[in-house]
Amino acid sequence: MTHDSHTQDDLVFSQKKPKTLNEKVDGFLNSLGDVLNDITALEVNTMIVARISGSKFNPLAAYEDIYAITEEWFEKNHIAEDCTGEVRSKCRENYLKLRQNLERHYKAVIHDPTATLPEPNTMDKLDVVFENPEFLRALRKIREQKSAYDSDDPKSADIDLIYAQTVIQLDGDVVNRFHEKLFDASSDKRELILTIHSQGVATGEAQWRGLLNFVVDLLKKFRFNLF
Amino acid sequence: MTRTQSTLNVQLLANCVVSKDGQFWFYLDRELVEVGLKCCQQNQTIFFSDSILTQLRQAVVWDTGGLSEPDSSFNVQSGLTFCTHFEDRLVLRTVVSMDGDVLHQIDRQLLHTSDDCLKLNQVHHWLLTQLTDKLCGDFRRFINKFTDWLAFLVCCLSSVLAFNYFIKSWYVLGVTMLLGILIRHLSRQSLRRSLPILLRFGFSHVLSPNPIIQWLSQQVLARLA
Repeated sequence: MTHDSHTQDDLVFSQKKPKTLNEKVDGFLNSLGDVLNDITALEVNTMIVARISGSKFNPLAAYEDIYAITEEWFEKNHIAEDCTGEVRSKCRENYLKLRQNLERHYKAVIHDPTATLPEPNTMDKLDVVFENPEFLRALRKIREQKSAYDSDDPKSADIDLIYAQTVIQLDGDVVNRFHEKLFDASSDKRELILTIHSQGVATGEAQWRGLLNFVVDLLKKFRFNLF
Repeated sequence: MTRTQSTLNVQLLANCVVSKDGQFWFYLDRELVEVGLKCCQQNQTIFFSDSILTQLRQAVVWDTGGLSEPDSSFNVQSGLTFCTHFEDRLVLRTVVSMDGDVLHQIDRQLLHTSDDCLKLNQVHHWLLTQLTDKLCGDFRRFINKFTDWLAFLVCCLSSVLAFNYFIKSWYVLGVTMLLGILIRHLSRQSLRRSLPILLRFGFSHVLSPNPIIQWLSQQVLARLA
């Protein structure tokens, strides 16, 4: 980033004060409208992981985690160090894509196609994007993906996998994707994962519908006073 | 299974749902998993406490890590998280995001015991669906009940007062009944019209450090959201 753009960025952010809870409620309701407009599909993912973390999603910690992904970070953390050249570069490329993805969302949120991710200690800039529900949702998903890439042994390319994914489009199309490792597994294990996934899809739709009904109801009460 | 037994089972399951740091935890053991399966097969409904439902509604909007932080530091929610704890470890986790992403995570070790795994998965999803089904409260019923009682109270009080101090005639009853009907209609209308203001108060003050304001906003979310 050039010195000029830094200055411009600073100007944009210095004018913004942290939002009050009332403003945040308004922001949330506005974002609900956008979410409802943008919903095109329900996506259910089933992931088998070595260890489930019960820790809460912390936006700043997640941001720091993704921001840190650089070439130096790979060396320092010995990412896929024991792997062959091709596997290693593929593994590192996956990580870098996460950071690029986050940067893409950041640019979209602040409406500046030339912006780069701000340093984690620049809280004035981060507070603004952390108040944006779309950015938070993207950050959470990217963080979940990174958790999946982080294996118990960073030197290896072993990762936790999304074994099965079902996308139900609003127009009625249903797309199923399965990881090739699922077909390498024993038939018992494969059956088990597929059963778990289909249970998840069947109930995932009902769970999401419950959530969606609530927010639509909320939106009606707040915005249109239809009752 | 007797009616009392099934009510007890449903109550047992409702008690295993705990809200902690804005996440919802299902603390299950083998016995509860069997109970959950039975309830699921019999298509029973769990009645959760007002407190859990209020926290769930609050969690749809706010992502909280606890109530000790200053108000404005809370972020809006990015995804509701539900975890199942079984035999001293976290075995299942589901994150439901508003934009249509549902992520299920399963502990790899759980796959080694396929029977446990399927049962736990079924009970986890059933509990989760029970919770999300209850998100929308029946606020109309509450408003109607509240205004009926208000009208009845006003009717009784005004009748007693008028009978004792002003006119000792049965016509008073007719007038106060009309007054009650009017009050019921007006209070119903004004409550419905002020619903956005009340809900805004509920959502923006539910994390207030002031216990009275917090209690009031929790009541609003429990009854009107």
